[in-house]
Amino acid sequence: MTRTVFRPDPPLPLPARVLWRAGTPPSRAGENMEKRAAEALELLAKVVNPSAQALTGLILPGKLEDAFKEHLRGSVSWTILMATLGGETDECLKRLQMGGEHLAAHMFNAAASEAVELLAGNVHLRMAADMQGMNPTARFAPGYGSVPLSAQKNLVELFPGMGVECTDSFYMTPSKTMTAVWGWMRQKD
Amino acid sequence: MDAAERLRNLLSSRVVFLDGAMGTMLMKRGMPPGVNPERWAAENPVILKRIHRDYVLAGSDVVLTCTFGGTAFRLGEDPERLNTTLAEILLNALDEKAVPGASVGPTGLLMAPLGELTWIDAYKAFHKQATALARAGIEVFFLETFSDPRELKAAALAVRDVCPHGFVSAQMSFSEEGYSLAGTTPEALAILVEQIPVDAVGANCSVGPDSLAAPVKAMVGFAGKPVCVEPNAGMPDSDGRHTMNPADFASRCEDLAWEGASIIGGCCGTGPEHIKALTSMVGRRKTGHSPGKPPRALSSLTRVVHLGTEMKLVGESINPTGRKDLKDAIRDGDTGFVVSAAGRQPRADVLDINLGLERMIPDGFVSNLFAKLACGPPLSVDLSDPDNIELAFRELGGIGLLNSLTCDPKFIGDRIETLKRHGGYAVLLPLDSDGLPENPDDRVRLVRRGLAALREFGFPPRRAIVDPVVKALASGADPNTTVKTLKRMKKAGWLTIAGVSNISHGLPERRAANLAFLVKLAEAGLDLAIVDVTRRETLSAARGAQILSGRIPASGGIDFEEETSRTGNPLEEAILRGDPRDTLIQAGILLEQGTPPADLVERHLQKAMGRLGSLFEKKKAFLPHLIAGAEAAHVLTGLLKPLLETGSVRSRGTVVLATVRGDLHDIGKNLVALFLEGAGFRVVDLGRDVPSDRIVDAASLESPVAVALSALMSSTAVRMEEVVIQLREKGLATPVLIGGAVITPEYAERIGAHYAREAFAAVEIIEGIMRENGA
Repeated sequence: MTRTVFRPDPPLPLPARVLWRAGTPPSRAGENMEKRAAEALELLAKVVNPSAQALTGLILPGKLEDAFKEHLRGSVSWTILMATLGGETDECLKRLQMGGEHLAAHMFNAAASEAVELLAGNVHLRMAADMQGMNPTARFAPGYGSVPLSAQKNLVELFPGMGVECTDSFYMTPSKTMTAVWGWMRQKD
Repeated sequence: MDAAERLRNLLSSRVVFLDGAMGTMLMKRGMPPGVNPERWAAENPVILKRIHRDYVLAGSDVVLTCTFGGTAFRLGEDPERLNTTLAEILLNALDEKAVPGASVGPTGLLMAPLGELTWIDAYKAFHKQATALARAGIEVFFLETFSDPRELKAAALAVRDVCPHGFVSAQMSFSEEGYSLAGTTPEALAILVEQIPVDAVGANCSVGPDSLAAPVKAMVGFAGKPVCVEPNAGMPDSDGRHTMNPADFASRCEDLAWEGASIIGGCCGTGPEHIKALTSMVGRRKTGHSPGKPPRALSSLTRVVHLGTEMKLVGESINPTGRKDLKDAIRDGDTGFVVSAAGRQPRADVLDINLGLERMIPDGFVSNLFAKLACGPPLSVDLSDPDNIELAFRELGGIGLLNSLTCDPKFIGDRIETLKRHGGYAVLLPLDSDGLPENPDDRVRLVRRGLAALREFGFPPRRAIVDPVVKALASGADPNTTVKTLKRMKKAGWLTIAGVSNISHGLPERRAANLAFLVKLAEAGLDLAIVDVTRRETLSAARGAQILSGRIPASGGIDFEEETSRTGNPLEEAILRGDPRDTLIQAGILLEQGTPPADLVERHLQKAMGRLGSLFEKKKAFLPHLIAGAEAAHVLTGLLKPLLETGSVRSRGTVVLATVRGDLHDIGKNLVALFLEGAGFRVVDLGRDVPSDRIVDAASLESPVAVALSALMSSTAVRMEEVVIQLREKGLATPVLIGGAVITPEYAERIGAHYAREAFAAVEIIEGIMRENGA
């Protein structure tokens, strides 16, 4: 099993993605909302502390094998990823909410949700580029498809030191954290 | 069965798969940077054949030649030999497993007047390339990655002239913002392609699949032809590499199939593995394409003008009659003067270009002028000579108007081929060799004969716009003849156009007559009015007449930001805009004027929130706008609370609100609280991660009109059922409302709760519950 530690740049999604996530088509958001989306991204850039780690190996740790084997069928190896924006993002969101800045909180939440997905997507792409002769499968996570939510605890246990915890109801803190698993398949000659 | 027929058959039954990138694959197989791909591929036939075969194995239905840069402008001398060689390599590779096609890309030069490439030179270059490919046995052509629709049209007509029965797909490349380099939108491309002799329209390159969903949707709406899409493997990274993995590519392309794309392939960065994932994800499914009658519109390089809705204005200023300066400029070949005069009509939806006596026009003037005018509004080509008409229509970047044709079949026959080839609408005058009938019914009868003649020439009558003819008052003509004729034409379902200013020829005071007649014609339903658009009163009269006749609503088709500035109530507008600062200012003004605080709540705040909800339902406002409005409302209630006498504003009821035990999400819950307070409810917000018994205790204490619960995880949603059970065991019939990402209507029904799809819906649902309970 190989552990790779990433020190990514702050993942900043496009304002249009933030507007979509916030619930408005970008073309009809209006100037005010476009400005608010941009402000949310500016704030996110200041507070975000992204980190990501990936574990790659040939055999999944025991408890995870049952959860993921169906989705990894045909793969010769696998990668488990954890990506997080860090605790300060949650603190910032809480401050906005406590201050009654609901729209700012809503936009910031949308920006942060897009950012953590972008972070995970960037790592996925980067690893795919580095893996010669291999194609990655799609990413899977606890709660999707037949993967039970309970697998979240097992995944989090594999990444001590990242500052991520998992409650008994499988909620991860900091909240803008993602885990994912994918397989590697040989490219056909 | 030939290749084009095979492809058409495939399209009639399912989504068709193209191949992926060629350049990317050549580089992976050893092509050094900086070499010409076509030449290198021709020198390495084994590698090229292998790439074609890999795409077949991956599931491509159509595989394209390596001839993207195959014109003489890119290859230099002897492009025919290279195109032939590359076509032969493809045909040898395929063995009837897949449909062979040609990739034809742009010349790489800018069209005049920005660049040196003329329309005719582009046409000749593509004609040469297509001839070589067709001779080698190619009948299917994908015109890819064009950024100027004029060059694309030149390529499409050249290929069609070489291969009259072949399959041609006309495609452009759009940025993430939705424009080609020339400023054309997917909608404008679809409107053009609908009328030129090609089989499909499409978009490829520049962006990944995410950014092509909107262009696909636009093209499906306007084209009436199958839509082809070939995305890149995502956006390039800092090294210029496209690295979207096959699974992500395929899943996003599945969205494109869902949006209606009929042919899907890949562009830069894609390879056989992307195509394999794509074919697997999309599978064998019917296309979303259904041939129909798309909406009618005129277009230019950069603009689209829809027909058949409100009246559009055609600028009449480019007409040398009575204008010596214009006459001289045309005679002297001064296109700059004419372009400048055209530019002084910014309010025109369409520009009519009349150049007077055409025998006085110098050589090259028509092509140069229309090339320079291509970027502005769509054009009405007010020319009579068939050669000049052809030269003008070649330069149009979209769909123009030919002003005009008579109903005489010979007159039509001499001119209609240009419109059939380049696309366009024809203005049809009720005139023939016997002149203009005076009676409205006779005019309509003559037009019917003209439409039948158009049909016989293979020109669809729905592309005709009929003119009731305006004759000058000074000649003794009765304006009512025109109005009656127009009404009969509208009753027949035809699009109409009229030269309004003709009414006042020879009169001393023209403006008054022109305006009055414009109003009459607008009320009668005129679709296109040729008028002096430089006068503000013209625009006001046109708009006023249409509002009075109900053709356009008094508020127009305006967006949210305009909606919020039209209530005439500054406090309401401030709340609608979500401007807390202005809300406080406007509220302060009203309080100073003696408005009771309770009135501010009931007459302004609640009215504004109700209006916001209505805009939300009409999809003119969205969730962020609701939040902004609710925030402004919250600030107002904060100001008014200490001022309101106890009982002066009745609370509509109490709602107990919580995120259930084990769940730490609270953003959605907080929005529910905000909206409920804005709607006049008192909210007891217990927070997040709240045990079920605490929620039940609060319900027992507060006697709320409802309990509202939020959960965002399947592991915590089960607590909602727990709350319902505990409430009922305690004898409380309090309605329970549930919401959250994992909550479904079925789950709500199962546990005996009400389902709120989104935060704002909570207000409506609780109001509904109260109405049911007789509150």
